Amino acid sequence: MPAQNDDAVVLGLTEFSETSQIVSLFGARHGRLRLIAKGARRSTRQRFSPGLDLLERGEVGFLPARGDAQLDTLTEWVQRDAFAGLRRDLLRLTAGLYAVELVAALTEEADPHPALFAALVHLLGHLASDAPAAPQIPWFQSELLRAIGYAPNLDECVVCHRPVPRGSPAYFSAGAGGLLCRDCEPLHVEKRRIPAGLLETVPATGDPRAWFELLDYHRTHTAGRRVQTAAQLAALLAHP
Amino acid sequence: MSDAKLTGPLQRLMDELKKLPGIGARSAERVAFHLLKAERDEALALAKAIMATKDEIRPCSRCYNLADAELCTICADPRRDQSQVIVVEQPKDLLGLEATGVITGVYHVLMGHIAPLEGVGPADLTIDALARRVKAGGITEIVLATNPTLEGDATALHITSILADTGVNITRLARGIAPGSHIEFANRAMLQEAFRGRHQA
Repeated sequence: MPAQNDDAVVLGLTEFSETSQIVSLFGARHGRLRLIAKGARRSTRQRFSPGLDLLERGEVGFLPARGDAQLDTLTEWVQRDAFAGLRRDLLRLTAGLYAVELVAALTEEADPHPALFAALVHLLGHLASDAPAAPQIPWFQSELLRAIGYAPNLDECVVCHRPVPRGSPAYFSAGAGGLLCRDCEPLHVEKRRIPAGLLETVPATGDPRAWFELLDYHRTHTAGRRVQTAAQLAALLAHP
Repeated sequence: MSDAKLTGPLQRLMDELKKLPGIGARSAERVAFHLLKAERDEALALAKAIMATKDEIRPCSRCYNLADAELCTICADPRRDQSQVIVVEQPKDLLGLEATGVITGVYHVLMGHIAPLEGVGPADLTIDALARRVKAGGITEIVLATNPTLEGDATALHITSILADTGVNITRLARGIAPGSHIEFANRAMLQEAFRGRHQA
């Protein structure tokens, strides 16, 4: 198969040998990729423009694995945006790490999600800017859940399908897939109460911490994967 | 090379040598036969050096650099400026900085960096010991010499937040284009950093 290329974001780097790394990328057209970057840690290697770092975006060139090889080989990396601005505070940096950890944990290799790629690039650009960081975190969570097919139903009670009156107490069940009205809530053990007023907002404009906790709770129960950065991000949102 | 195995200690030596970084089967064979042919004292000097390294090397009680006594040679040197502390990720970084010959201060070795994706947090490093050193007094400047990677920056941000109220001057190593490299081959981040960090000619 001929050499491939893509627009990609670095999700993870694992040391493979003294000079080589295994690079996990999220490509716009290829989805998640795992590539071996031979000589990436050698300072004289110019074709990786130099070095590769987490959360940066670039143009990747790679050769698909042949024969017994299990990993595709990274042949070129040209950095397009390092999103340097997100390195200036812990909330922005941790939010970026949380986003790439979610993408790495919840997408499969060679399963493209162009809309999710666009959302990730938008989030990283926003975190690197001077705009407030916190509201964009739940916005990205909701975009990710939609892209992978786990979006919760927040429009009506998922049991009786009646609208949940705004302003009245509401509950959320990840197992049931979304909102529970007051009448249906007693039938479910797994549930949590939604803070008053939250449903009058959307993830990008409401209370960032409350939306983050609700969507992360849903993600944890539905996708069932532990995310290392979630607790630290929750702490930073609670005490910015 | 044939797959035939040598029996006994020589094969064991080659198997052990092959575990070392950068040593393959051919190199292990070459080193093993060299040691076999070498004078007994020469070969045993290597064995003794390995044993001494494992038995005597320990972290410096002040800075966590490698030491063979309570304090490392840098902390124990009265000519070093104890008011300036250069914070590095690992002892190998300290060696690189020492080789420049321009540093008169002392060090603090973190023994790693914060890596949230790998589950390495501040509690896994020697950041608490650094905070105690600063609070004990006598330090006027902390130079953060963590790697200019995302994880190195995360570590530097965390240390800055921990030491923010101590009144100590906290600085970070300059970053940008490496001497000997070409602007043509530098990436955007390097050029941005270099431009922001420009100084009076």
